[in-house]
Amino acid sequence: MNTQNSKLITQNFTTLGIVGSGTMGGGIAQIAAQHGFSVILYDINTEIVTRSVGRLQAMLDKLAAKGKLSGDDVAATISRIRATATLEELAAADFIIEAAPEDITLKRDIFSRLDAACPPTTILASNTSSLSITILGGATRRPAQVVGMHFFNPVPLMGLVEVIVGQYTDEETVNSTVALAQQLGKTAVRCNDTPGFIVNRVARNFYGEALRIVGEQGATVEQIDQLAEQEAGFRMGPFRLMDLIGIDINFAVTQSVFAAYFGEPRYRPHPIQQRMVEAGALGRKAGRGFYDYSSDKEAAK
Amino acid sequence: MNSVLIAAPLADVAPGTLAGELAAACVAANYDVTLYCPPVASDPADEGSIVKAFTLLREPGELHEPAAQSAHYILDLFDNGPNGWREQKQRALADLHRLPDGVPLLTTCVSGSATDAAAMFARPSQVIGFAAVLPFDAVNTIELLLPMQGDAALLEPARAFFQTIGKQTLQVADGPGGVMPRILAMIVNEAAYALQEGVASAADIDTAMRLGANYPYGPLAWADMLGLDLVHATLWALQLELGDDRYRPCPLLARMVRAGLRGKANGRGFYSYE
Repeated sequence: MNTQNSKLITQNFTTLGIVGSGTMGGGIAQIAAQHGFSVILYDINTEIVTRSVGRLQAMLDKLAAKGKLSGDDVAATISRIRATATLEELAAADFIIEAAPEDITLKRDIFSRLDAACPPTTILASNTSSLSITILGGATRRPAQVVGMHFFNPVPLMGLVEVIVGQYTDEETVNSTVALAQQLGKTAVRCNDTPGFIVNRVARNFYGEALRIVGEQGATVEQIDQLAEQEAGFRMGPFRLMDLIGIDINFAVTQSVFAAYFGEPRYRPHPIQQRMVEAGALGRKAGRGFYDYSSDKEAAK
Repeated sequence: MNSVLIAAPLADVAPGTLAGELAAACVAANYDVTLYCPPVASDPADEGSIVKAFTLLREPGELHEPAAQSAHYILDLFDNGPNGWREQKQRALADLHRLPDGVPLLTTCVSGSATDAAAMFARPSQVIGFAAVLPFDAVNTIELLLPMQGDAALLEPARAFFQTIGKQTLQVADGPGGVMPRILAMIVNEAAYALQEGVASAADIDTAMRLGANYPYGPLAWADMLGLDLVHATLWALQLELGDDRYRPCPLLARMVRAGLRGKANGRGFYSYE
């Protein structure tokens, strides 16, 4: 089914609640406010959430300086974001997106508290990349209104949202979430609640198989990147990309999918990843990964 | 004028396939191209219009004709793999022994190692393997694989040949699928498993990988370009050679191949091309 063209019965949302004001939550708040939504942005204390709004303001000011936004746009966007450190204040929103750290206990607690505070029709979405939407739904009395809304980093630039359909998520919730993603300027795909969803699962062997070839001495890191880019047309070879993402982050995703499928050999991590993570060679952010960034020449590219 | 002899199944000499695109690239680079397409079970009823542009040989005896004997390069595009392909490749390589000694024989490694192909040829030191993905126009670099029994001195003429058709080369270690056909086969296999398990539709899987991971093509549309039969054969060869279950082909992919769905080459794959 093509999600883009399906006839949708959807609710119309005006106020979005966002739980977590980090990179993902902040990015979602930014695009929502830029697209005219009122945003209630929550984080665990006033200081953190105020700092996050300040960061958004600085980012929007930078866009304005480049001529991509007017000063009025920046002021209007920021005026649509209300910061809070009280989770229950999100009850005023008609759609909530949770973007807290990837910890199942923490997220279950957030969903349970939101369920208690919000009207029974409010849709509760999670931006999780690795946890089950069905499990989060189980922490509420409204599993039919619990859905996944997986954005990609950086949120303002990446055009995709995976809409994750939990085992008990109803059709109206899914359609409304797809419509909301489109109103935020994103392309939505529908994905059933399975480990890694689409992208984090199908991409595993871009890295995993490349690591295996290096481990077999089949080709070098540089050669594989060159072939991925010049033979197959990928924007970035697997090793340059792992350095950019963070080898630790990539290794954690691989381990999570491998464990979730109970040791399926297609997702088996590689000893090279573990060795590099434990040695602190995490990629660009550490100055050292599959490539050396100590002179920052590569990182500047 | 230099001449090239291309050995391939007749059905594979079509626009969009590696054999068809290589033949067209050789013509564009002013090579005299002779096709050797010995009769095989998968032959189409019609020889097709593309074939009319070349000298076409159908019987091993015709390899004694000057068009074949004057070849400066031999390209073997018979694939290794399940479904009787291995026997076809063995037979074709046995036939090619009628060609002169010392001419580089460039054999496709998308579905088997160069060492394996060289072992099927009576003069193994004449064999150099190569591997590439599709679409051919977008490919700037072709992988060269030296068989264990091979002669490294022939890497240079192989490199020179690909340079004349506008492609750089990079030597990698020998193994089924080289580097990129192997990595792509694994990505396609995972996308096929996700489709079989109902994780998402084919169109949504492809959209997700293009927009969420910046892939140049969605993996299932890419599989249709690469050829489902070839992706399946790459996985089959990897599983056989490495003995690791991570390479087992997705049952949906295997069934599609058995049903004759090849992808763009015959208009039916994960998508339909009418």
